[in-house]
Amino acid sequence: MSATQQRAAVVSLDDVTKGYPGTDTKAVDRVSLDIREGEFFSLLGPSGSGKTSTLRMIAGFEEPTQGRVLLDGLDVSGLPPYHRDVNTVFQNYALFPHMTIQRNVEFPMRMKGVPSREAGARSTEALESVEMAEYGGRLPHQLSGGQRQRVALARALVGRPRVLLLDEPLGALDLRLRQQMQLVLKRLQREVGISFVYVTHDQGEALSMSDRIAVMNKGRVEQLGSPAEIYHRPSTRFVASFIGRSNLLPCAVEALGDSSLAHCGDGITVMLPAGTPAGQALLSVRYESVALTEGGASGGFPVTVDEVVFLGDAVEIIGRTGATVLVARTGGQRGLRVQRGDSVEFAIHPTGAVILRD
Amino acid sequence: MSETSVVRPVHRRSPAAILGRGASWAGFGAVYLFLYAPLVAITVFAFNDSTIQALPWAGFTTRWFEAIPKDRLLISALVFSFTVAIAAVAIASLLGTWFAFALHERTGRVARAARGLMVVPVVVPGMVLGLSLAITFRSLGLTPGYATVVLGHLVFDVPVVTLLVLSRLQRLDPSQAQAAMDLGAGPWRTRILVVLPQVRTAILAAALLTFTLSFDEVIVTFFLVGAQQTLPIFIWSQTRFGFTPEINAVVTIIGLVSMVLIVVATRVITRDIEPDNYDRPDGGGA
Repeated sequence: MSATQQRAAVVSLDDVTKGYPGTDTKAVDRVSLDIREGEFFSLLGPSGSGKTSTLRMIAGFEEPTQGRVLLDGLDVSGLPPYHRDVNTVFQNYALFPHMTIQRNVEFPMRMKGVPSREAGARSTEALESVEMAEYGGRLPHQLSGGQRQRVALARALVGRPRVLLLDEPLGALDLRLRQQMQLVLKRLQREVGISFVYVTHDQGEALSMSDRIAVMNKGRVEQLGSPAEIYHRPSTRFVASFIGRSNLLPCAVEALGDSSLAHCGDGITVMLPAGTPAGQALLSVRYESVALTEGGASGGFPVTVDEVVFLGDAVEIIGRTGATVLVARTGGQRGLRVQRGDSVEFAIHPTGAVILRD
Repeated sequence: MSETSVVRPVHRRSPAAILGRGASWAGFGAVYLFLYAPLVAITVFAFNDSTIQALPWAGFTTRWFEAIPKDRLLISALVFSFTVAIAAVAIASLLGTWFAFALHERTGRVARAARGLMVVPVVVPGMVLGLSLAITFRSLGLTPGYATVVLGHLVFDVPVVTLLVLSRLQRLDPSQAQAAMDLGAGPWRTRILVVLPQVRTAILAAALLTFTLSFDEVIVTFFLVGAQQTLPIFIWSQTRFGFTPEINAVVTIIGLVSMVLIVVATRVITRDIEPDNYDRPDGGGA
């Protein structure tokens, strides 16, 4: 489909498992995936989902207990970090406190034996790309968190690695700075064309920057796809509840020839595409896929308003019908006129409903 | 109003309270007097123009200090002590730093046991250490002298350096070494270019501490010296015949130098704790 999909895999994980002594639960459990040339790839999951362990195995700080890590198609098992053409931006930046910013950025080139004049020029260029050139003579502790972040990026990119690994790099920054850095990261990635592997627990960061996202939970990849696929077509209950806000409805699916119909109790029915397997299923409906409709709309059902939550750019209406509670999110003016206790009508957009495999 | 009523009674102390405070200050003072009076006394007698170690004050003189360079036995003991301490510190700094890195980089059961065993020579009574070393060296056929004394001092100097440097290494953010390796530095360049510079103050502090330890060590040294005495042993042997105030002058100098060294060492160690904050992300504005 997209251009990146035809490109070669820079990093391949082949059935990678990581266990630690003294525990049976695996940090990473049989993960297989390909990260392509020039791709912004995110590993998204809650803490303990195995995303950082996965990153550390690509970097070479840890070895898989099973399976293989391949860089450019070559098995790198047992290859130490300094022999892997992969660089990492650490969560706490890990700038060397006893070296100036310039020396920090020159460090990877000194290690490669690049002549000092060239190393100086390239590190200045790298610092310019993150707008930090004027700080070359400072020491890391004289910089703010956001500035150190930029320097860490410059240092990791100056040696032009095949892959850049980023371990929750924005986690320590405040919200405004985080949003600003997201743009910086995305721009840098486009400019240098290096594959980024970005570890985060923040779905907003993953959705806004990534070409593809692997959602991880309990050491496994729950779903792998583009941000739009992950958001609009979650395949598991975990993905549906971890990313965005969803109503989860247990339904009975009935085949009707050219379409399917889900009966979700309390008079709620949802049209589904043909070919949806019949039987019991869990239906995920994003809050914004529940519409506040005028009386008599097809597929509409009456609810009593339990609560109205004003969010600034939208309103969330919590409606109840029988034993079912549904949340509708609407940006329209109508939502503002709804009050607690009102009787209104909800309808579920057929395109916004997804059957989950549980 | 309620604020002033809380503050006021402090200004109007009852006589009993004043007495109590006075007594507690006096008690405090007595302890410090006990701790520092001997040091003051020896310093005072070093400047007292009398061969008798007693008051009354017979007048100020610096002749005891001037006598020091002329006392050949004392000078040779002083030189011997210096050469012992310098050799012990140099070797202990190298070995201790090496051990600290080795113990830090290994996490297995053997490394943990080795770390525990490091503490033993520091806490074992000097008499036990001295006697056992003396017996060992004799059975090895080593003549008591410079080498045996230096070896003896290494037994407690090396663990002190190891433990101080190790504790600094353990406070170092592990991502520092990982970042170095990630950026292409092998294990040796990681140690030398990234880790070592961040523990150098701990090594310096350990060297200063072990110097003072070695310089005035008596018990272990006593078992290991040959004909040439170290300064503390020379002073101790002098006191048996009723020492001259010249000894007061030497002890005053050594006391001062040791105190300066220890103050510098503790300053270096405590200042060294702060830079841990260097790399703590603070989320400050860019």
